[in-house]
Amino acid sequence: MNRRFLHTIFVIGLCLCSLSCDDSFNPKGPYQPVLVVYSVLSNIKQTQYVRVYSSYDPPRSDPYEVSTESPIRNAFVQIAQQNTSNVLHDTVVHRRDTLRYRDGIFVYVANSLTPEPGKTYNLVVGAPGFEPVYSSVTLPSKAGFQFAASAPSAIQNPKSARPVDVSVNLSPLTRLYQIQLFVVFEYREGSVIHADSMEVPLWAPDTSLTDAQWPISTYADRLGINQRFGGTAYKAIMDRIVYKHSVAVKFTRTTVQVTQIGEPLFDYHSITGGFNDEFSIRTDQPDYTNIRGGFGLFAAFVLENFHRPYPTDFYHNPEGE
Amino acid sequence: MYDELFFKERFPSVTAILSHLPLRLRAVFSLLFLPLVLAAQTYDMRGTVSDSLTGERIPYANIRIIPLNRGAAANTSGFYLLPNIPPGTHMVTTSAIGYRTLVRRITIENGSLTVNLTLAPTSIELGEVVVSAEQEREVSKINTSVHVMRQEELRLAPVAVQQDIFHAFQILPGVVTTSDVSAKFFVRGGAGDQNLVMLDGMRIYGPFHALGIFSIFDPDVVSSSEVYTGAFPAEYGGRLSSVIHINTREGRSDRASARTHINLLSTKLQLEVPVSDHIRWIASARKSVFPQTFKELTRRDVPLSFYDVFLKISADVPGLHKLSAQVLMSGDDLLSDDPKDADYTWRNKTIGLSVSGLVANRLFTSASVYVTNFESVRDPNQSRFLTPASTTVKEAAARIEATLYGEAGAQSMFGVDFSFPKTTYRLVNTGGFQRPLIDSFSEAMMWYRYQRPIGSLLIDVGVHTEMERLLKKGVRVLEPRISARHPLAGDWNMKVSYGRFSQSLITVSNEDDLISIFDAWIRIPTNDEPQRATHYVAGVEGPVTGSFAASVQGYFKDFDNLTFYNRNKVSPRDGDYLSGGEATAYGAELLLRFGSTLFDLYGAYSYGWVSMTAGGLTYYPRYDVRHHINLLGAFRPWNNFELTMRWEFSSGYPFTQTMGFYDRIILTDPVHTPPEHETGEPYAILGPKNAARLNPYHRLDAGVTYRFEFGQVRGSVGAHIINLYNRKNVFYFERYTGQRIDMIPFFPSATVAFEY
Repeated sequence: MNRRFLHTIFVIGLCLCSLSCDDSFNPKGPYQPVLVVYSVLSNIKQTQYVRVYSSYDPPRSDPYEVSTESPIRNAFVQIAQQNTSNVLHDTVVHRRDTLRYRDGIFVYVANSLTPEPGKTYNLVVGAPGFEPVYSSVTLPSKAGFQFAASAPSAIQNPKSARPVDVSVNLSPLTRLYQIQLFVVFEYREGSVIHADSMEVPLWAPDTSLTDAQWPISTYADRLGINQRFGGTAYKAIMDRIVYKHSVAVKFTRTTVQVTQIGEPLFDYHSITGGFNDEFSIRTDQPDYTNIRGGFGLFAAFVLENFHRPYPTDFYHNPEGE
Repeated sequence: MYDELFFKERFPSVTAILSHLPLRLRAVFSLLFLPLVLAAQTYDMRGTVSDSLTGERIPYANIRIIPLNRGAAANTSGFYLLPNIPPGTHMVTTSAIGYRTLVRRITIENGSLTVNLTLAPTSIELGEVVVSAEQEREVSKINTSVHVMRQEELRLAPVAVQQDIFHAFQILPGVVTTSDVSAKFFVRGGAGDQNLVMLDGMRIYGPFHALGIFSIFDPDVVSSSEVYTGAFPAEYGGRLSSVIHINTREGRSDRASARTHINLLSTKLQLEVPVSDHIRWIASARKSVFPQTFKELTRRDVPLSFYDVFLKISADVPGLHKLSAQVLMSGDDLLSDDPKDADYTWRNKTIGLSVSGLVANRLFTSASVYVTNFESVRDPNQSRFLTPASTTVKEAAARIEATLYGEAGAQSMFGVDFSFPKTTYRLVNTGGFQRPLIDSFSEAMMWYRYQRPIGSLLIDVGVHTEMERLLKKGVRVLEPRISARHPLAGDWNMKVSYGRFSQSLITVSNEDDLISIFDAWIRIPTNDEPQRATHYVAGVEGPVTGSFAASVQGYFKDFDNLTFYNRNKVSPRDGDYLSGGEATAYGAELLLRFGSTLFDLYGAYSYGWVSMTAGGLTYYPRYDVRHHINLLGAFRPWNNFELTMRWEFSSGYPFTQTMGFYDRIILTDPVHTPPEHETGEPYAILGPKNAARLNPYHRLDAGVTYRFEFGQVRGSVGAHIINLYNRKNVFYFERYTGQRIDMIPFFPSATVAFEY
């Protein structure tokens, strides 16, 4: 091989080596920190929480490398309803899962704010170095509720195994609802009286409750809902209570609990963990936020209890008359 | 004026009709039939072209009577017909790639003549393959976007572990893949499920082995392939972007033959046995043997095994008829040792029967009936992220095609395709619900195509339609297909094509998946109009010099009514998918081919641009590649020794940047799990969809092959290197770990093959 040929081979080899040079590649775009806000209001408690923290940019694209949360400690957090506003103060609450972050959770709290059904609440969060974020949510209005005409008789005569029918008129803002029936009772243990309740399934073939069907959260495709709790199911629960606590039990009331979940909470719940409706074949996990200028959720639900007391002389003996 | 007796003999039915007509009308009809009658004073020459050694039919051979300036090309069955040859003795020239040109004296006296021609094989000059033959092939005579690849061409590209026809197609302009792991391809801005794959007229729904790593077709049993990258003719339908029609061999008829090979991935055995003078069979079976190779190729711990089996029995029936039965089976198992990983299985079974031949004077027909069954199952084991799923496509179909050879080079082609697909997709969805999607329906596709020269202009017009839609919706669902060729200066030609297409079967997969492991075929879930596309193609092609040919084409594709993710889906009432998506693709392609005895060069450059608008979002799909270059060289410095090199370049593929993370709280129970106590899971904040580009991709592959003979045993040894200069092309980036996975690194492999 002559020298010129070797030279050519050398040049080609050099070119190939230069082609193999590894271009650095960064999959990240320009990072701009944004506020992340989570708050779910409900009418059943006086204390409302708002979590405020920041997005983050892990140095090597691995978010699990970040072992400390990034709460915003000097934020201005306000929840307002018409002319009333609540400026929240910070506190630390218990963290349920401490696998990734060990510290408690830094939150903002309003200690005496009980949201009212049907009312709209506006959230404003501002913090130095961040664009302020806004959101608003309207709680579903109170549900219309009625026991069916046959219900009182069915409730007071469990052995008749007649169904307990109720009808509920949902708020137009409700997207997901759940109607549950509870039997509330007291039982004596020594000299102590305990209060307890047991949920009644929708249907049960026998007292074992093995194949019982329980109420689940249901998409509100109409406002008027008629729900039936099977007589056998109701009797099974009453029997179980008596068998468990013997004659020491005193039935106080039946309670129908109606939970109405409004649109943002339903939307978030439906899609953030993957579509969980019955008919979907989608496998992606799309994002959802109703925080303008940031990420997270500002949502609400309304929970109401409708009671029917048992007569003071009511008793249930599964065995005898 | 004409020989009445002769006319009565040739056209008795016409004569009978004429005899019942009034004299004046009879005169008018006589004038109308005059050209036919004049033509009747000539005769047809027809027959088959076969390999003199193996007896196998040779597709696309050219048969010419040069002094008369008459010619025809054999079809895929090796059948040809030269109409209206005047009586006399003619020198008929027959040529085909890889065969010695045959010049034979044929005497036509007083009747049509059947002449079966045999060509003697010669050593392949690849220059002939890449340059000279292309312009003469019948199928590429008019169509703008067709590439006919014979087995020799399929072997041109350096081997990536094992030879594969779909990998070979990737050298064609307009064809791109998003990774070098997968043979799944995207044609001129079309999605991956918009490509129709047919084997001997049978639709194949799962043409890939697992992960799309290779096709299920053994290249050694492939006789030829037609690849339409756009504006495909009327006989094809049901897909929007491209057609790959693979024709298989029949096997040798002279003697039994065996072939075996082993490479770093698989081993195979192929047998070809003549049972009698007219009956023969060919069988091929491949099985994966080295699972470690998969791990190197995919850069993952992929415990993959596969097999494929092909069997074809062919019989020549007297009277230019051919009968064949073929079976294709393939299976893939991706069974993980780790119970936290899902297991996958795929199965393909296709069995068909086809018959072809000249059924009337000038009417060549082919008919096939087949049953195909594609099945894929995902078993999640203990995977946290996946759910059980299975998909099947069962289809029984019958396809009949006919070609009527007319006067002066005219041809009418028509056919029907009845199919009864049943698609089943069973899924446990992310909500934990069993979700069966079962759709059983029938389709009756019909087409008509007419081709003829008008002066120097050659036109090809056709129409394709699905009968049920035609009856329901009217003529607006007709899919016209038009092509035309006009000669320019020298041997250059200008071609234009136009076509409309529709597709109602699609695959369900996450459109952002880099490699889709589990693709389920379903009928469009919106129960709406099918997806549609319109193609416009124009180009010029011709020889620059005797051994240097060039082709330039431009295309514009307009997609509408595309099915896409409903990004606003929230409630169960909201559909998963919506229709009405739109896409526009356009581009230009340059193809250069140079051939000589010492070396051949092939260069393809594609410029492409595709953009989709769906649900108010406009973005580049992940197969949108601006610049794509393929350079291929085959060098033959010594006898039996061949060096091949291929360099591929792609400008960057689109991807979506990560703009940061936040901890997203999963509210498993929206009432009883308040967010103030939850930690949340990291969730990537994404930038605009596919707005950024990966680094450019390029790779050089090289291979050397030495062929030898010991008596009747022929063999070859080959050494191949993928990614010779070890370019680190980004395959993907794990968004949640930051890990960068590159495509195939420097990867040497070897093959040994023996043939008796």
